[in-house]
Amino acid sequence: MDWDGDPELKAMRDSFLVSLEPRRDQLEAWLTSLAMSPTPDAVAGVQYVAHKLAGTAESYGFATITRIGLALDDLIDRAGPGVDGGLICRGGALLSVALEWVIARREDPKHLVKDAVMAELEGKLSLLLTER
Amino acid sequence: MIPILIAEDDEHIAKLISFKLKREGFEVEVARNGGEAIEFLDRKPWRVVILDVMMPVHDGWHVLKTMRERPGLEQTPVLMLTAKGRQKDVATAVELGAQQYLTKPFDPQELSDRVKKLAGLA
Repeated sequence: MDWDGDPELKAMRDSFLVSLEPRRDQLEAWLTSLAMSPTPDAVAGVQYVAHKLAGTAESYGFATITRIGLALDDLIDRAGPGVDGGLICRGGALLSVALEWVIARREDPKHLVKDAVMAELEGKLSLLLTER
Repeated sequence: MIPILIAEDDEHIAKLISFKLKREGFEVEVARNGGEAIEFLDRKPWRVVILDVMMPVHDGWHVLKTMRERPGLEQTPVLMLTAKGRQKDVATAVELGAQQYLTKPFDPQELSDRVKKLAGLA
C-alpha cells in the first residue's frame, strides 16, 4: 500500500495514528491498575486493547504492534485465571513503548521484536501451547 | 457497479476495506454493527457481504444466520472476518454457511482478491 503517495491512504493512516494515543493512554491506565491490584477486570482491560490492536495494526503497516498485541492477547487467553500478572505488565509495557514509537516516528518499531520481553512473551506462549 | 455490504464496527478496518473495494470499482456500504447490518440486508441485491464476527448489537454469526433464513439471501456469498488464532471461529463460519473467511489482520489486496472471486469476477 502506498501510504505516503496516495492522499486518501495517507489520511486514513493519519487517522489511525491519531487513534493510537487514546489507546496507549487506556493501556497505561489498565497497566497501572494491574500493577496495584491484579484483578480480572484489569487483565481483561489490557487484553481488550491488545486484541483490538492485534487485529488492525498490521493492516496499516505496523506489523510489530500486531505481533506484540497478538502474543499478549493469546497469552492471556491461554493462561486463563492463573495468568502471570507480572508478565502481562511487562508485555503491556512493551506494547506501550511500541505504540509510543509509532506515534512519534510513524514507522514500525521492528527492532523491538528482539527485546527480551518479546522473547519472554513468545517463549511463554510457546510453552503454554506445548503444555496443551 | 457491484454492491458490497461491509459489517464492521472498527472504523479503521471499515475505512480500509471500503477504500480498497471502491478503488477496485465496487459500490460499498458500511454497517457499523450487527443491528445495522440486518437493517441493510434488504437495501440492495448485495453481491457479497463481509461480516466481522465481534460487533455490537448482534454479532456476525447472528447476521449470517439471519441471512441464511431470509428468502433471497440464502446463497449470497459471505466473507467472515475472524480474529487470528480462533480456530473455532473458522469452524463456525463454515458450519453456518460462510463461503470464505479471512483472519485479522489481513492484507487489503488479499481481501479484495477474495471478494472479486466471491463476486464471480476472478
